[in-house]
Amino acid sequence: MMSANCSLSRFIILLILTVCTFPTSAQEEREGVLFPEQQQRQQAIIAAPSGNDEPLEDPAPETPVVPAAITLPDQDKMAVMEEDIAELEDQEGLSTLERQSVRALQPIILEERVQQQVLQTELKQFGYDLFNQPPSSFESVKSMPVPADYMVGPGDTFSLQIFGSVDLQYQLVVTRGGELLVPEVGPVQVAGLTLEEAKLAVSELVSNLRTGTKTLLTLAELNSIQVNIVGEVEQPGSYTISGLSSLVNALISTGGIKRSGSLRNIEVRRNNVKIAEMDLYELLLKGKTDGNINLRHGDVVFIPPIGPVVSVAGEVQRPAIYELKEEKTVGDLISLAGGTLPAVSPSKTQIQRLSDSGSLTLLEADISQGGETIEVKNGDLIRLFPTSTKMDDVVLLSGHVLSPGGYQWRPGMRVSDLIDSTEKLRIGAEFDVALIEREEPKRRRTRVAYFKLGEALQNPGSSADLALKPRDRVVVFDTHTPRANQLFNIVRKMERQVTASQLAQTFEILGQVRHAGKYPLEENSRALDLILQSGGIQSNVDLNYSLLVRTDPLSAEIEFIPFRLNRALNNKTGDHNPLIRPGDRLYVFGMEGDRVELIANDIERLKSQTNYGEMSPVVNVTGKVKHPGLYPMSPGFRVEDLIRAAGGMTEDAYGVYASLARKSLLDQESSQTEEMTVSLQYDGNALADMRTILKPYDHLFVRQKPEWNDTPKVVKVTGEVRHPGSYQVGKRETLCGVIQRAGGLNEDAYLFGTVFLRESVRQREQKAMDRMFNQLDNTLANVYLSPGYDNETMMPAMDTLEVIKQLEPERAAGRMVVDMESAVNGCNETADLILENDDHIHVPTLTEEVTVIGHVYSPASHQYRSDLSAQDYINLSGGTKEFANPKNAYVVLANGEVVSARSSSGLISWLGGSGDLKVTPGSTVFVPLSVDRINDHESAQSWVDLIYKLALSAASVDYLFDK
Amino acid sequence: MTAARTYVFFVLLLVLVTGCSSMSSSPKGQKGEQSADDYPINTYKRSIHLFQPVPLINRVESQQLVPRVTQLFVLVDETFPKDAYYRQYPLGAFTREIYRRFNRTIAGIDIRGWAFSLREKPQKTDLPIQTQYDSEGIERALNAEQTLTSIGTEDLAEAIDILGKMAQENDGNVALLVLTSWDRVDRSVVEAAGRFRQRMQANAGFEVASEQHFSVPTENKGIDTWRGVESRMGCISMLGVGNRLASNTLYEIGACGVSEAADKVAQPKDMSHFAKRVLYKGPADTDGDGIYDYKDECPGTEPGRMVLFNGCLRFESTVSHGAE
Repeated sequence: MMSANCSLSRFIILLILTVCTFPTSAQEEREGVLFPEQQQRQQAIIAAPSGNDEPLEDPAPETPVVPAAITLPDQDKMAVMEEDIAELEDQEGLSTLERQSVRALQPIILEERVQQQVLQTELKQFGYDLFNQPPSSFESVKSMPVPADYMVGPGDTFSLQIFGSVDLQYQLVVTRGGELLVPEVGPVQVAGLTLEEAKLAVSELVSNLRTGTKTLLTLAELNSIQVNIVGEVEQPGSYTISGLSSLVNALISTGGIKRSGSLRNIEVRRNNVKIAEMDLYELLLKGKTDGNINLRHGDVVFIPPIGPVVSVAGEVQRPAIYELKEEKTVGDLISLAGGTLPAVSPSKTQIQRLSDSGSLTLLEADISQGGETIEVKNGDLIRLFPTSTKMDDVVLLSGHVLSPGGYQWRPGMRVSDLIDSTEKLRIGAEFDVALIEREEPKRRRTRVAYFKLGEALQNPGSSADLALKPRDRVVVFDTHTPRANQLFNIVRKMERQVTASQLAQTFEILGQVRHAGKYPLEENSRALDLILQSGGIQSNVDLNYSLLVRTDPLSAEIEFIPFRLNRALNNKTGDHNPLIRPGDRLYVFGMEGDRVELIANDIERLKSQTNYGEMSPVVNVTGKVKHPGLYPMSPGFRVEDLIRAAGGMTEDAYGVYASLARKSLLDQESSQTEEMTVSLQYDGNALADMRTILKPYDHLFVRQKPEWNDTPKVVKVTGEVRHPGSYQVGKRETLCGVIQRAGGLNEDAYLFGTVFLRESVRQREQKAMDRMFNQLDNTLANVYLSPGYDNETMMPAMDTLEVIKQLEPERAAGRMVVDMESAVNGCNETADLILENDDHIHVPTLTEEVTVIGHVYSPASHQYRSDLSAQDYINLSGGTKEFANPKNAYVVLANGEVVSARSSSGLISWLGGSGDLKVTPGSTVFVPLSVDRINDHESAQSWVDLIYKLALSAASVDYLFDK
Repeated sequence: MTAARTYVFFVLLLVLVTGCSSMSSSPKGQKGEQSADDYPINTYKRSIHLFQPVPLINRVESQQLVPRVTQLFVLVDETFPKDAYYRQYPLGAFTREIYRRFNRTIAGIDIRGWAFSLREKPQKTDLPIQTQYDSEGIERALNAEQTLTSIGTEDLAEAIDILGKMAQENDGNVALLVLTSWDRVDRSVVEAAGRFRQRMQANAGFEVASEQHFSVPTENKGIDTWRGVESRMGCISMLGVGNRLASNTLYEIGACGVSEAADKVAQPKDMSHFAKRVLYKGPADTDGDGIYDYKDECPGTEPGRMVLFNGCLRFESTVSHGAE
């Protein structure tokens, strides 16, 4: 009956085991992971609502201010850091403490992270893991030493050795009657005795019967006992277990206690009497084995249902669900859970409790202030939150310094304590301005304060040496990096803390400043402060006109406020140094640079926000002002303001009157333009003057000065004048005037021979001459190639051509023949002429020579004699050559005039008429080649022309300048 | 003879119609047979209404306009040949009609002044010389075909010289309004106009503006508000007939007078605007903040302060600035 029962129960156990395979294997998988709770906690942290504790995200940036190649803004650095931390924390094998140190080892930042009240997503009941291991075997443990109080029972196998006079050895089994049948001695009742007592009994008996012997009784094999394990266990039932099994062994080997069973009140009943009660927590937490008795045959192990439980979650060593026994208070529970972790924030401890009314409530239990004495109730959840990661009592130094990072804050600390010498700054640090980013504790807003670093360092304790508060961040700028990049993060922070009907606490500065861009705005700042913060007033700034663009927070409409920096510098609290409001944009203009283009967008916005029936307050100025274009019309904007806005008039502006076109709306029907003249003086009687108040869409046109000439006219006067030199002349200066300005003529001046050179004439001449020389080349070629070409007859022609070639001047002279006598002496209006730029007047000395060139036998110069004629001079030079053409001989007079023999004496005869040809001092007589000799078929006229021109240049000009 | 008769007829017709409309505000006459249809609308193509003046006096009062002149001379050219027609209308009558419109527009304005006719010989029907500009009397005279006081010459340049001498004897600034044909304005007239202005300035001891007036005042000079050269001013304005588009032949004389084609200002609103520009500077701005008094809600702004469009201070107080 007994064995049948036993086998049946075994079968059942096997059955259940097979059924339970799936959960068991699932458990095994879980066991492979270390620290499941920690793992879960880690996951919980990662899965925590992310929107708030992630680093500041980049909202779509409004302005593409940041060039790519610049060093990363702090923001990005921080994002990288956060990722790294998360990665580091994810590493497996880190304990909770190790994990916490990962964050602590990072560089100090002041960013706050939101801590959700999320601790673990799951808690386990404490202690039940003990039973997770599958039962090893039901076999009794053989090698186990038998305890002295082991109760001998039927089935135990003893090994009995008798030695002394005899030497015997028996294997004896305790019979069912509890006797040990010792051969030759008889039965010994041993059941019910402990092992020691049994040993004694056997020894007594044997030594009585056989003197001189000693016995040694050892337990060879244990018996099996049968116990009943009932109550809240995984597999209740009868188990045959080793007779040496303790209570815990029995529980473990039989599958353990269900999670609904109590670990703390395990009862062992023997003969219906409770002989032991065990608290497994004592074993698990303290290692005490009180109550872990050895079971005996027939014992009943009873597991009552679980008692009251309390969960402990968060910053304790073993977050779990604990069963209560004697523990009553929070403190007890925390010590059950192994105590708190170092990062716990005691004041934040909470108890989540199911109240009597049936709803969940929260109790604050500040365990640093008596919270641990609060009594717990069944079902409570104790939460212990970690401290925040926020750093207190630090100040952060960042920017252009040698060792940026966190520093200890002390009461009364100032900037000069943090940066105690300039040694801490890097080369190129900005001394004029630095910034403190500060959290305003009450309103929870970030504010900034600018201060003068140089002054703070020089005069510690001065007003520039700002007092620091905990968690301040001091930013030191450098002079070269675009400052907007350094401030990008703060600006974004400012933009995020905007509330309705308020603009971000920032300003933008553009134009002629060193570091244009967006800046955080310090309260009560004025325009000049802003300029200082952006690098100070640059040289070449237009102090007469700056613009402030203010956006209305409600309507988002903009308005322009012009102001004058020079007035601001004089009166730091005046209207011209206005207080800056959030969202303001400041334009500082340079004397150069396109200011109109800079404000064009805002002007467009101004126009587009104008409603029907109104006119956009925009005025236009064009013409001779430095920066023509559209300008905003502020209240009381006058003509002078507009001219000032446009940078003033240019030098060539006509400063008396300008023209103003005014558009006026008539009854909202039509617009009409009227024009008026504006006096550019302060003339109250004029229709409009500098003080005239402008109206929208007025258009001012500043005209150019009449007869404004950009390039001055310079005339060179050389030779026999009293003061030769380059004279700048007016538009209508004449030859006569400039000679007079040169102090008149010297006594030696040969006025008749004056050379007057003009650039425009020279250019024309040059062009003609170039063309003719081209033709000459062609002609030369033709001569050689012509069928009738004969070396002998043509030879002189070739000579002539060569002569001409040699005569070819470098450049045309551009001589004008001027009647100097009447122009200079009488200032005769008809002979006088208006000078041009680059005119050259040369008054030579009287030359007493007459030159004869051309086809004469001996070209030479002769002294002038009034009684000689041209023919006489030719004769003096040896007479004409064979191929000369004396008929066409001519005289170039000293003043450039050419007198031809033909024109003066007609065609009658050279010899007869040449005597009349007038020759004056400085003249040149030229005897040309007979043109017909060269080529009959070619057009002779161009030749004559060319030779004439060459002769003119050669004879009359070259001698002036070559000598 | 026929031309003269037509002329008389037109004038009579004008007198009837305009007299009527001036008495009653309704465009329709009370006498029944004279209606708006009788008005010679083909005179001016743009004129489809009877001339209902926009009285300048209303604007003067509402906008507190500041007068530019204390005297007004009007010179109406009546020397047109009888057969000179402009848009099927005798030029002389056209000119008188334009002047009538001007006259009615400035009715009620207190100003000294005289109206002259550019004629050589005085006539019996001439208006006697007045001391005060008598808008009503002139209106009556124009309607009753009475002639204006003769200036004693038919030469425009000479007439301007005569008026210049007259103006010189009186005090204050003078506006001279010439109503004539554009082609009467030649070089001699332009020179006479220049003389007219010079006479006025010389009388007041006008000094030639020094060079610094030609530049924008800068802060360095320490001058903030520039005081203008106070001088007497004689401004010549012109209403030209005979060419709808021409204007501003007298432009180069200076920034003082206004020249317009008569056709451009024939309409009530335009005429009122023209008269305003001849006689008035603009609305008063007593505190000099750049906002006209009639719009200024905060009069008495200190000089040099920034204001809003309503004339009140832009920055109420000057908050002391100190770094914390």
